[in-house]
Amino acid sequence: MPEPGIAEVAALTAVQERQATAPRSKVQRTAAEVTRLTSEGHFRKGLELHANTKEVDFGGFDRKLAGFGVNVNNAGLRERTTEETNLITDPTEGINANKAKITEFLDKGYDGVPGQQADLIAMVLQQARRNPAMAAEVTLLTGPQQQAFAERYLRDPAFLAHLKDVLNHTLEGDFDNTVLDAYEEWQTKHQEDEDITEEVAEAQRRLTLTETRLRPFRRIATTGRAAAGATSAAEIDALEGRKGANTADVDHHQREIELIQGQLTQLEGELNAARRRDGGVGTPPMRDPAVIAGEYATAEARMNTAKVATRNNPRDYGMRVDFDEAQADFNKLAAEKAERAAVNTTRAVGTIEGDINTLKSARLIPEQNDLRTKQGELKKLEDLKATEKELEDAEKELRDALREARSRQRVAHGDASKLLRAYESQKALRLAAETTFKERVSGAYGEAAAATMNDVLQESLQHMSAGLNKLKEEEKGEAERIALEAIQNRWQVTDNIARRRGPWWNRRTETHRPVDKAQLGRDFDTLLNNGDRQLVVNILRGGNGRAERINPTTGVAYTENEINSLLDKKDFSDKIGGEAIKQLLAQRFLTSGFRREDINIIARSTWGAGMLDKAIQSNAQFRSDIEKVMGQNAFNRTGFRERFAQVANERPWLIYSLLGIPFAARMALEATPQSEQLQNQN
Amino acid sequence: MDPQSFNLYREKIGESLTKRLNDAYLHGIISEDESPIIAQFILDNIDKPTTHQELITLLEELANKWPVFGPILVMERAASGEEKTDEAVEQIQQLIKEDRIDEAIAAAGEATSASDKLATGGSQ
Repeated sequence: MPEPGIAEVAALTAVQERQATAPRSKVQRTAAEVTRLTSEGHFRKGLELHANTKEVDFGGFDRKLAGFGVNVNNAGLRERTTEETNLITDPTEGINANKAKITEFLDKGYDGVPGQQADLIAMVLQQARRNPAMAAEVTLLTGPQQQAFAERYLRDPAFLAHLKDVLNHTLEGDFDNTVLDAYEEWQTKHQEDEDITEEVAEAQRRLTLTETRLRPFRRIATTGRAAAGATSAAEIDALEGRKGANTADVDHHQREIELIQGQLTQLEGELNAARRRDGGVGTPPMRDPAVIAGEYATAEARMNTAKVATRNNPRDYGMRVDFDEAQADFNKLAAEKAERAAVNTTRAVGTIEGDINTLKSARLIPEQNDLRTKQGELKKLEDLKATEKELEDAEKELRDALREARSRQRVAHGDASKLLRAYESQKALRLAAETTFKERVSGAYGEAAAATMNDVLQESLQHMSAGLNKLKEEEKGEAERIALEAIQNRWQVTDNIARRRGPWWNRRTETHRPVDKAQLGRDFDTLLNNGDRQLVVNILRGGNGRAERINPTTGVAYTENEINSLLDKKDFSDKIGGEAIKQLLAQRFLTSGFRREDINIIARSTWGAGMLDKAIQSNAQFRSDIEKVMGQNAFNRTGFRERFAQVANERPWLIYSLLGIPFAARMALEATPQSEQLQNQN
Repeated sequence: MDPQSFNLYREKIGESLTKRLNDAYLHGIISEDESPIIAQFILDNIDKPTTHQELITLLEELANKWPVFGPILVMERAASGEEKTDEAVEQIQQLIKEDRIDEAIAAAGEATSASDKLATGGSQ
């Protein structure tokens, strides 16, 4: 087993040393106490002391306020609305203002916050007026009495404890990111919606443009004729009308042009020959064919002669040379003769050129022009039809694209709207939560006052229950004990209810069984309408989730006759009936208050009279209260019950006194000077 | 360790933790806001471990959440023979003796980290 470490020894020594110099601060006092507890072997108690040092988690304000902001700015960050900012900063009702007030109150207590006192008193009185058990009493208090009443609560440590408890519950947890998440989801879909909307607009723009370009091609659907102003359609029709003729004309012109071009080729050949014949710069004109023919014949004869001589004298070189020269001359003349023979025209160059020009200008060019015109018309028809087809295809394609984009746009728009609603809903929810937070902060005093008042009621109820327990324990009769047991459980809900209490770092679960107001209401009605006898029958018979009581004699549930037989016995009837009425009225009045008629019924009914008589006999406090308020021996005078009803209407606390509720005395303390005396006597 | 001895040992650790918390609270190392949370955490968990290893695991969790408990973890590991850094333990004890709490916590953090590296084969 390890020995205590140096750390523990050092801490203990340090704390003990500090203790010696009289601890001053809360930290020093706490540390010293924890050290003492731990050194005495109670480290758990020391830890509990630490666990309870933190009274209010004020850090919760920052955590909560950090979550405020239901709008989102362009940077994607939360932003507070004016309403939210007001929730926080409103100088009188805002969270910050209330936090400051509460902090000051916790620090200085009621007497240290004179500036808040009037509001605090008003708040306590408001809570008391809302409290059924106190409302009647508080209404009758004078101004100073009301102040005294309220201040008693405001100085009560229980109020302070409840205020801390309320604050810790209010400040627990923080706001999540649901608003931001919802915004981002919406924003993503919204962007998609915007993109598709732009896509639709773009498709629409292009379609409009295409439709504009198609307008000249529009035709009347029924007739197929060009619509009014549809120039291109009209042109197509006209061109279509001339298409056959144009095609034939093109054919004709092409043939004509071919023919003319043949003639031109021929003329150009003639022109070239004439130009060769006539010669030009550096080129001599051709000689007359007859001259050439004469020289040709001479050269041929000379060549033939030289040829023979050479054959006969093959070794004679001189003869050989002569032959070669004669042959060359002949070949030259033969070529000149052939070239001259190829020029078959005798016409002058200028004449031929004139013919060519005439043929071109008078025939070829007009034919070519006509051909181009006709071909142009045919081409234009093709182009127009191609353009029309292209535009119609584009129009169809754009219409399809537009339809498809619009369909997507509808979906995206629907989704975006849905997500916007979700975002708005989250904003509203968050705003409501923030408003609730603000209201809980500003209502913390009120909530704490209500809880403190409820403590008083619970205390009174417990007192009533303790009285009943004592009766039960002292009771000898079995039937009576069973009946008292049934009365005790009659107005509690049937199952325990778990309730989580304490701040988040020190959470504990408590169970309790609250008063069943519905059952109280039903039984109260039974008492008023059918009397106390039926009330006891009902209590023993159970019902509404409550068990029937077992007759110890028979071992099975009581029958109505058996219960009536018990009630026929005066002792049983007085004891059980009286207790049932007392407990029922006490619980009913404490939890739901009472009205003037209730007091009159108590005073005038048989069971009410019995209860008054019994209280006068056995409740010394009640007797004393009555004598103080109504005079000595007032209950022995004639008309006491009627007078009691009148007096109790003015002093409702007498009803609590009648029922033996200690709460009556507490209320009376603030109610009247006489009651203060009463309290002092106790 | 038999159950009775273990219970006594756990009580001793509980005491050490309380003293450590109290000391840190007194020195302002732990704020008034934090001390209730830590105290409640110890209260909620101190009785849960039923073995020495579970108790060490709780100390590790505490030291991870609030390094102020590092020295206790180091010293408990040393006492149980798990911690080989005797020198570090002595250093921490000396620092505490000299009231140099911040430095002791830092040294404990280093020792814990070194011990973790050893335990995982130095792979970190």
